[in-house]
Parts: sequence; C-alpha cells; structure tokens
Amino acid sequence: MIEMIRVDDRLIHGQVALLWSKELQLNRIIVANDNAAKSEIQKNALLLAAPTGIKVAVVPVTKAIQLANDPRSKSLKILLIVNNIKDFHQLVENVEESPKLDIANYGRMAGDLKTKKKLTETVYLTDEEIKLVKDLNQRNSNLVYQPLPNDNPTKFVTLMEAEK
Amino acid sequence: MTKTTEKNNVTLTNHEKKLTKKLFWRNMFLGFNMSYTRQQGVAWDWVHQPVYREIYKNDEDKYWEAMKRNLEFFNTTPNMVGTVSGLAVSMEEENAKASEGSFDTAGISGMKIGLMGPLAGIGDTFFSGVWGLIIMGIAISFAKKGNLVVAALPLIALLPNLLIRWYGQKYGYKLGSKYIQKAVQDGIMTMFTKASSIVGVTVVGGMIATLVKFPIVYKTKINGTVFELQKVLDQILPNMMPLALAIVCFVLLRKNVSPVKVLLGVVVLGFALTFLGITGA
Amino acid sequence: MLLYQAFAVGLVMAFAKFINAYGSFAQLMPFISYILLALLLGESPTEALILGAAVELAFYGVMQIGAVLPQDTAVGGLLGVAFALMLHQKPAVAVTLAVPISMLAVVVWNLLKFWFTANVELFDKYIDQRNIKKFNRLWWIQVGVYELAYFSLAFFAILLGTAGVKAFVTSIPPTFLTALTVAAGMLPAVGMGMLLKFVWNISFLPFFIAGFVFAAYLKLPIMGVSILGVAFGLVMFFIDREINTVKKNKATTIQSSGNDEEDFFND
Repeated sequence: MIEMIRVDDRLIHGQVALLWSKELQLNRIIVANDNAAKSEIQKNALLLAAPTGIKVAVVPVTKAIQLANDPRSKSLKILLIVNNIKDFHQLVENVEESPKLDIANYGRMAGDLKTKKKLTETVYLTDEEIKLVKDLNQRNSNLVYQPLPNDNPTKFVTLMEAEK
Repeated sequence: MTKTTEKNNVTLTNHEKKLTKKLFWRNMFLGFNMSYTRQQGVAWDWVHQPVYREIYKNDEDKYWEAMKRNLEFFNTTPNMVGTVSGLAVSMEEENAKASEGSFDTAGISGMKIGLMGPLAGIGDTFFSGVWGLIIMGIAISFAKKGNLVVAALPLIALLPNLLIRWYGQKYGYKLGSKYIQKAVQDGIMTMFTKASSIVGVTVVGGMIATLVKFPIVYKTKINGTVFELQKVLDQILPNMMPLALAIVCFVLLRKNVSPVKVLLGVVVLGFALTFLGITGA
Repeated sequence: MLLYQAFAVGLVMAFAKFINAYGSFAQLMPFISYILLALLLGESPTEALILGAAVELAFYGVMQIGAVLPQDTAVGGLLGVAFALMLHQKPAVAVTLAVPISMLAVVVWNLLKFWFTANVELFDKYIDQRNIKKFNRLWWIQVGVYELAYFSLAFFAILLGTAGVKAFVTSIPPTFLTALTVAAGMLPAVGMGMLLKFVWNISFLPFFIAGFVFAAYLKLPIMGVSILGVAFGLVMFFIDREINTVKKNKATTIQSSGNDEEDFFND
C-alpha cells in the first residue's frame, strides 16, 4: 500500500522522520529523486535519517514507479517523497494506486519567489506548476495541504482558487 | 599505509583552529531571525560572513557572490548545523583556490539542500524526541521536590548538543562527507537511535508511575467496614490509574484523535470525577 | 514595587528567549529561568521550582518540530510561574495561567517572523550594494527588537495584568481549585501518550513494562530508572552490532549481486 505521496523540498526531515512515519505507521519510504539517487553524499544522508525500523530507498523517479507498482508493495506501508511538482506529476500519473497526496513544503528553495504564487506559508508555485497540479487534481482529488499530521488537511484546490 | 594517515588526518593547523572556533561560536546564532521565505538563510550568511571574507580575501567579486548565493533557503535542526557548515566551508575554500570557471558552486548549494533535511530528521528525533524527553523527565522529578540540583543539570544536558556541533563541524571540514558514508555502512546511527529509543521508553514507563497523578479519595462503608477504593486498587497494581490513563491517551493519539481534544478530555475528566467526589487533592 | 517586579520578569523573559534561540540551549533552561525569577523577585527558588515543575509537566510532550510552534512554552511558563509566585498560589494556578498564555504568545512570534520575512529583501539589497555594515546592522537590530518585544510583553503583562489575575485567582471557588489540581496532575498523561506515540515500537514493550515496575514497585527515582534504561539500550546496541557484523560477513561471502530491489522488499 502506498500510504501517501508527499512533496517536500527537503525530502526526509524531522516532520517526516518523526511525525509522519509514526502517524502512518510506515515501514518503507521511497525517495524518488534523480539527483539524490546519483549523489553519494545525499543518498547516504537520507539513509542516515531513516527512522528506526523503516527502510529507505533513494531511487530515480522511474525506478520509484516500478517499486511502487510491484505486487510485493501491497503488503507494505510506503510513503513516497518527491521534491518537485514535475516528479510528483509523473509519479501520480504512473502509480497504479490512488493514495492521499500532500503538497507540504515547496518552492522556497529555488527560483525567484516574486515570480511565484504564494498559496500558503510553505508552498509557492509557478503558473506552470499550478497547471500541473490542477491536472493532477482531476486524476486524484485526494490532494491536500497538510505539513504535519496534526494540521487540518486543506483541499489543495481551494488554495489555488483562493489565489485568483 | 596511506589509508591510516588519511583516516587520522583530522588535526587542525593553527589557522584552521582559529577558523573552526570562530565558526563554532557564530553558528550558535543560527536560530535567530528566522523568516518564512528563507528560514535560516539570512542567519547562515551572517554566521559565515567573516569566514567567507577570509576565504575570498583576494577576490572581492567572489566574496559577494558567495554571500548572495548563500542567502538561499536553509533549514535544519540548529544543533546539527556543524556538519553542513564544515563541509560548506571546505567547499568554498576549494572554490577560492580553483581557477575561474573550474569549480561549480551549484555543488555547494546541492550539498546544503541535500543534507539539511536528513540532518534535521536525525536531530529532531534525537534532541526533541529522545534526549529531550529523558533529561526533562529527570529535571522535573528533581524540580518537583524543589531540589536546586536541577540548576546543574543543563551542564550534562548540553553536552550532546555541543559535541555534535563541534565534531560535526570538524569532521565535515576535514573529512568531507566520508564519515557520513561510513556511519551509514556501519549502521551505527540506526543502532544508536534504536538504543536511545529504548532508554526513552523505559523512562516513560517510570514517569507514568511517578509523575502522573490520579488521586482517588472515594470511600464507602460496606457492612460496617470502610472501603477505600485507592487502597484496593493499590493492592491490585500500584499506580494502576495513572497507567490506565496514559495508555488511553496513547491509544487515542495513535488513532489520530487531535492532541487538543485529548487534552481537553483529560481536563473534563479530572473536573467531573472531582465533582462526583471520586478524585480529590 | 510592581514596577520593579514587572522589570524583573521582563529581564528574565529576555534572557529565556535569548537562550531559546542561542545554540538551541533551551533544553532544561526553563528551570534556570525559574530560579533566576525567584531570586530577582525575592521569593523562594524552591517554590519557583515546584511551580515550574508543574507547568513543565503540563507542557511535556509538546515538541517543537520543524519550526512549527504550536505553543510558546517559554512565555507561558515564565508568566504563569511569575503570577503564581507573586500571588503565592498553588501549582495548579500556575498551570491554569501558563497554558492559555503560551497559546496566545505565539502571535508575537508570528508578527516578528513576518517582519523578518519582509526584511529579507533588505538583506538581499545590502549584498547587492556590497554593504556589509548595513547588513550587520540590520541583523543586530532584528535581534534587539526580538529581545525588546519579549521584554515588553512580560513587563506589561505583569504591570497591567497582576490586578486582574489576582481578582481572577481569588474568585476561584475552593472545590474548583481542587478539581484544577486533580486535572493538572492528570495532564502529564497526555504528554506521556504523545511521547510513547513518537518512540513506540511493539518490540519496546518489555522496556516500557520494566520502567513502570522499577518506579511503581521498586520506587526507584527517575534518575535510577534512566540509568537502567541506558543499560537496556546498551545491551540491545551490542546485540544489534553483533547481528550487523554477522550479516556483513555473510554479505561479503555471498556477494549480494547489488540487487537493491530485492533488498527493499526483504525484511
């Protein structure tokens, strides 16, 4: 079972390692990121941050899709993490299950914030990304903004509509 | 032969010592002036400014370029900053030495972005989760009795914080990312977090028995003999009610009931039972 | 007198908030602040610690993860203890005041962070202008305003709030106060539940039981329980290390053909 697909600039960090892993009672985390999979430092650091009892795979996006669609994944509790909307779109399109989707922290890391739309304190999107997200929402409407498990999940569409 | 020298090459030259110390103390300020858009980005720049000045002392353009570049978003558990800071400085030094265009500064950003998340994952789990919980439990149990020993406890409590800051920075600076890789291969971190979680769970078990109070004052007469509910419960299992209450809270929280609701529930329960004359102080 | 008290609490607050950010030294520092508070107010440090312990116990389990600050425990705790100390009230009163204050105080931090965010553009501009003096000046102004904000918050809360709090506290009926004390004693259970949730793993159950028995039956103080916990942790650490080396030796002999995929699905 894919429990959730999350968009997070920093991939695995405290909110994921400590809070979400317990909330969803995970036993696997797949970090789907081409760059991280290539960089030894980043890969190692991500493996190091794995919470006790949880296996982490740092793999390219295509490989992540393959892992997620593997029949053996059905018996596991998996969280998929990406750090950009493009990868997110690709994953949601190709993963057979329709899990909960969470855009939590995104957009502050790269690019000029002035050219982006601020949807929440922690999410900034370009027009192009908004289009991608809207497209996703038609595929799987269980798309929310929820940084922490204790936060109220907000439907992501309402955030995009409020912006206009 | 070469391997052993490489391994032990963590002694610092005098100049490096000065730089490392300066960085260590300035990094204490990483938690100040956080912003929504950059989090600790501005603080990172302020912390590293004199170091960049020194590294690029012959190149005004590169210095300001480094300042501009490092104002980017940064966010990690402040206690864990040493590793990233040490690594970043050693990379900036390479950049300073490299001839124009031969060093890609995107690698520095990439490293910072790549490490800040995972390090925060480790740092939050350890500092807020396990260590914080143990040391605070001990401190509260002293403070409850008004014992002034508590004033000396921070000396112990701060040790891991200072050690991780200092050695993380030193090894990051001297060894680069190699030691991170070694830690993964040895699985040392996983074993360490697991071991400290065990300490945590043991302490929580003890704290439920000593720090949670559920004082039952209910008494009744049955056939002329006084029946004190608390005494009966104590004979079955001492501190039974605190244990039961904590387990109920745990189960509710695990079922995703919001903590605020659980908190209010407990307060309401305390009031209701007291007004009914079952509990009291 | 009240003016001096307000000033004293303000100073301790500024100290507490500084230490909160400086080097993340916040751990255990509340108790230092409570002792400091008692000394400046001319009250008993022992009393302050007892009040503080009750407050910290109620806050126990509220963790600040990922810079999401649900409660400002430093402000809540310090003001709650200060009021209770000055008015010579029970620990339950300190808790009753501390919890709502800690929630309200978050607003101050949000405002400050909002201002810091607006200033990022200025920092950026100063770098473009290559003006390190202005850069450093703005940095220290921000630190100063941060300190001043919390000093003033405490100063005015004590100066203007003490009379109101006193009236409120003395109007609490005795049975209500008893109920409050009971509820305050039960509150730590929520924190414990929260912490258990974070570290829980069914294989840790034996250690949980052991910890409970040490305290409930053997009456060991928490310090003793912690040391035994360390012993358990070490035992498991050495066992894990043993298993790890065995696994590694096996892996090198069989040569795991580098199949990450198999490894991901295997336990």
